[in-house]
Amino acid sequence: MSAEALPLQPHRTVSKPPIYQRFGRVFLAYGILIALLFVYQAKSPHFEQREWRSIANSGMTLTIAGMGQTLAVLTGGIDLSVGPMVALSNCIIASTGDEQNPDRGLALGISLALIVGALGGLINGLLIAYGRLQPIIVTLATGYIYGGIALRVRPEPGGFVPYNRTNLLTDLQWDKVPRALFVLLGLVIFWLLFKRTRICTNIYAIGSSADAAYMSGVNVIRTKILTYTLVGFFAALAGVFLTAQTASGDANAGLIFTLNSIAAVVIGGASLAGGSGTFIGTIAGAYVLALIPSVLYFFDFYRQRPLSQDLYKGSILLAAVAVGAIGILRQRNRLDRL
Amino acid sequence: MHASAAPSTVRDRLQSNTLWSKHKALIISYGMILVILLIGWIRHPNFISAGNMRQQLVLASFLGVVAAGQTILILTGGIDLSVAWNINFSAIMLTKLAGNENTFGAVTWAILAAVMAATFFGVINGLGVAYLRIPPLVMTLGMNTVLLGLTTYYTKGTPQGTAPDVIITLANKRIFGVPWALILWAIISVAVIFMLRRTTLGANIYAIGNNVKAAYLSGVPVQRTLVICYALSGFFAGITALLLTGYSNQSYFRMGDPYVLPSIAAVVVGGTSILGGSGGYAGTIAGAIIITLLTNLLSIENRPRADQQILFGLIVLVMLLIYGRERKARQ
Repeated sequence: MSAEALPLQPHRTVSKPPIYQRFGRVFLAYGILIALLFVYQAKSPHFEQREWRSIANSGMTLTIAGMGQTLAVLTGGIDLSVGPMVALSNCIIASTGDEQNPDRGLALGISLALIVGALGGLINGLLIAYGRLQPIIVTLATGYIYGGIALRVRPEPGGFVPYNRTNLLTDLQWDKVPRALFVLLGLVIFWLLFKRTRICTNIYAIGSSADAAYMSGVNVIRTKILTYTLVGFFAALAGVFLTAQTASGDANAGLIFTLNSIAAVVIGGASLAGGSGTFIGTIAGAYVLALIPSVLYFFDFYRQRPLSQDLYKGSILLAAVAVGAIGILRQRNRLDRL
Repeated sequence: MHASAAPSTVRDRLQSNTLWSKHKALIISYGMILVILLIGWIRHPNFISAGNMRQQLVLASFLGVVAAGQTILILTGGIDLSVAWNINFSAIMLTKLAGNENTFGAVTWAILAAVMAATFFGVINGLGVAYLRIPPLVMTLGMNTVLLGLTTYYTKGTPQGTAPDVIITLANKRIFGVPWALILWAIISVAVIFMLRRTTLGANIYAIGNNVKAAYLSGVPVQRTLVICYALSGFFAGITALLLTGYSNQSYFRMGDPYVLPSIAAVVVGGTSILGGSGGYAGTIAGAIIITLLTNLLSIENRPRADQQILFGLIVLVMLLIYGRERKARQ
């Protein structure tokens, strides 16, 4: 081949890979989700609207927390303070509850929780961006702090949450549609709009290569700060939904959402290396994790050992990442396998 | 490290090989122990009594042994979140297999099986990380969840049996005034520090942590080394399980949980970079002691758990800001 012909060769990185390759892991997550829903529906003796309600509610807190975690993971970072922030938000709302004037107490609590969430996220972002520290260890430390503050706000579980108000989020609309679905729809619309903004492009760019993003004029520092602020905000929002579900405040109730949100993001197909993934996948990841115990409950082998649900959750998480990792074994170049 | 034989930039020349620049993290972390001791002594003279110090060092040894595995992994750029339930599973296996009898055969088998099980799960972690390239965070997180499920499955919800006598001796008794646990910790410390500084395996670990591709091109058996590291972390989790079971005479649920984040914090407070490739176990020993002494001091002060957590987080942050910072971006 002559030298002049070379520039005509299409560059490998220019052509987009086919859709099943780009979103293969997302499809896999939805495949698992649909299979679980199918089994649930087939096994459940009386499958009715209220079942839909409990399904929709069960994964909602995790989905909202996963929204934030997705953003952190997309930048190539991670946020280990998500769980403590969910707990802090939950404790704040339950503690500002006012039996004389429930609406005012609730409004005050929710706005306070969301502000605290965004502020906590901002602190994470400032430490990561200006302190030039690794997100995993910064958020580990701030997670301790936020969890400690949650314990200070509410040393014992309890507090007051007006029951007739929590229904606004968790009940059925028109006796048919779970209201959680509206929350989900809102989040999806937010994500689709957010994806078109420059901020989101910058988030993907930083996750792909922070150096290249910087060279291309992306304000890396500002984008990171904004990202972690959003992560904190969504964690607090997840706390609002958790409060609606549990109708009480507990400094320990939110802690599981740190690891579960990471698991949801990973099952949803995002790469922890950053730069690839989508919130749409995280939704499936969150609902897969939430559905596993309910589906298992219909099986005898599980009912005999009802505490072993984590065995299956962990196995599905590992299976999902292992399937995604199979491609690495096909790499011809052994250096690329590292 | 040794690669910069000829200092080329101003920055390199400024960072000359003074004692301070080479051992900044060690000096700060051991200085920190002195500061805590001083504060404790001023506020509560009994804090630095021989009895309390011995007790605190024994507690620090539990954390120090888990953190040995964590140090090795963090040096490679990895992490092990599965220590919590790896400790717990192996502790529960120990008491269940040993039963309530103290026959030599049963006890030996129980101890061997418990430590081997923990090492086995470490190997699985290593295989996933090294050959499937699953991010260590996810692999060990998933393994932790699987082990949590396995533990509850295995016990049907109630841990059985008690700790064998020899294990109780190991964790509680002393010889010539020195607790056995401390002797064990000292042996492990010497072995780990020797391994990291003087053996090929140690050199390979640092090489992988600095740049995995460069290490591979220089002939480091990257994947085999990673599997060994994760196996070691599992092994140390198993040893910790022995110590913890002996200390409380039994196994119970969630006994490993209080050791995950502190073990990572001990490594980081001891000056090992979370990015891998720099640091060592000498710092981690200081980190484990700092965390244990702080917890003790705060409980003497009668502060609620909330304050302990907050202070704990603040200290990790401050230590990070002192020496955990990356180079300024794009330099």
